[in-house]
Amino acid sequence: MKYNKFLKQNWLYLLLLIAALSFPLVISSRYYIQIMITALTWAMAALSLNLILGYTGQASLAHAGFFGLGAYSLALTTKAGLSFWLALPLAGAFAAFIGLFIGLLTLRTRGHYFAISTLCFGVIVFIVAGSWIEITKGATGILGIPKPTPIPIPFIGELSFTSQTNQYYLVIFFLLLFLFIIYRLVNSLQGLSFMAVRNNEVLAEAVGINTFTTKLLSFVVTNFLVGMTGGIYAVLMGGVSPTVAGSNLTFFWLAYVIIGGVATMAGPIVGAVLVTFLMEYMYSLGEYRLAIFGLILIMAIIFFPRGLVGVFTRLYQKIKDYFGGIRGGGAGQNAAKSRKANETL
Amino acid sequence: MLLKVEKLTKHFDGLVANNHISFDLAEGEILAIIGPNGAGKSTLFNLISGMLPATSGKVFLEEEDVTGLKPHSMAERGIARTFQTTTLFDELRVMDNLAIGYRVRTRTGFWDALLHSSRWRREKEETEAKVMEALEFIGMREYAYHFVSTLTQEAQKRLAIGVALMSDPKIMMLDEPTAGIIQDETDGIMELILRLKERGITVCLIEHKMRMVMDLADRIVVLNYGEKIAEGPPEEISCNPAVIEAYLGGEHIA
Repeated sequence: MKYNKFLKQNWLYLLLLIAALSFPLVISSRYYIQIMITALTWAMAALSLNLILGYTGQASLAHAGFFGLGAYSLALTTKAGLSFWLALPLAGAFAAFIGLFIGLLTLRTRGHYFAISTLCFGVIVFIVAGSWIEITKGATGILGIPKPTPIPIPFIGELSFTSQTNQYYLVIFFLLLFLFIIYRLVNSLQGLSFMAVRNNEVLAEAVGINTFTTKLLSFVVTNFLVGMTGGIYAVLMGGVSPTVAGSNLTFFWLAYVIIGGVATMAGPIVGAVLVTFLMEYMYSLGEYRLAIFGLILIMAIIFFPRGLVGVFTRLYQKIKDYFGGIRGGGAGQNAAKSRKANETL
Repeated sequence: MLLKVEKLTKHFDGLVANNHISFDLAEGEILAIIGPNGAGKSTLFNLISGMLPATSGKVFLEEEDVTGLKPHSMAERGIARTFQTTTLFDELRVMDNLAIGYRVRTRTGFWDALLHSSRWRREKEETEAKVMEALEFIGMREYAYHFVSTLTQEAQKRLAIGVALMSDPKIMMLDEPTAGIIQDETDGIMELILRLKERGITVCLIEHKMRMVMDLADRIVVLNYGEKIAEGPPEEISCNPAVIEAYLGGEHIA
């Protein structure tokens, strides 16, 4: 009975999980798997952006900067001989550490000013990556990052990450881990503090929330996650160059979050996967793609402020309320309850 | 003395919004601050609750100097407040608004949330129980899942008091708790304020509705042009010539 209820509430997530896990088994085209790997890496970056932007309401435009910090950190440490499994959390910690200082400075500003000051930091990282030739090798970047260290498994042998399929599962693993972290964080009293700050900073402060440290925590966690994402990107690409810190990446991720649904769990993933595939589909259009992309973005902002996930949730709710109404018996209460259940989608 | 305000002064450039305002707040009383528009009542609230820095003067809470503390520290020390224009978390549900009000008494952080520690569980249950109790107290149990934007103005006023109440404050500062609602509903809010007093909470309120002030307040402080012009029990204030002049303008014929 208990499992039945669980299935009933989460069938959609289970379906998506099965689809994600079986993707490389069903799809044989290396081309599509590669696009999916890229899309899901961008989804990870969008997920962490959603934490500071969507849940905490602070538009950090330094996201690619911290992505770049993580990517370079991983490139340098793995090339120096460190195992990928140590270098990856280190990449996150490095981005988070720098983020702490940047946060201490920039989080004193609000709204547009925060966006501008973080954008400046992003640009600084990009310029440093291109100019500090002794460390970053300038515009050529660092090449030849070794593939993730194989994980030994008793009796079977070892799990290596040279095959595309295994790299795909590596990305899925971290995507699920990020989802888990963000889900737990947002659905806690700490997450409620984030949302309080987003919704009304003055009131949040008045009811006793230290809004500065709350924003700082969100910023540091965000940067830890995006630093790790940068590390994963670097190892999959086998190299890094200053473009990994380019602010156009930030704006793409921002668009994924907005199109998918700000402050929703699934939004960043939906946005990243859909837009990446759409862009790939329209590859022949070249630069014109960006015009179409821009149009989609404007439409989303005007007509679907809560993105595609918002639209979907509303439709699902309508259908559910309709059937709840037919069955009768406290329909209103059921509606309120199911609305509560769908909030985190 | 629970709260002691000493020569609090606030200058906005050339304008003196509060000039050497001093008054005491005794435990368990209801003190009303009245005065014509622009008298500096809300500024005084903002100075006490730490939302604005004072130009000079001091605020003592239970003998401790709390001048210049941030609003969140003031809330932590037991001074809760509401705002003149109803201020709530309007993107969130009623229950979440209340839960945020209790956040100052909980310590669940990143790791607790991530690992579902025993503190996470304990504080989650504690918060839920407190929310239920507050819903009961403000008479809004059936609205727990409603979004703030769907509530009536009167319900929003109640909720704002509920949110402030969540932190178990010693003092509640209510800035015009009945602004913008009709007379019948005012009575409900009045009754709610009296029940706050019964709970042992000291209330300091700004109010314009004179009948309500006269019925509720134990003492009244009158401000005019940033100065305190009178202080005393309601019956004394109502026949104080300076107060009558401030309200009706000079040269009136009694």
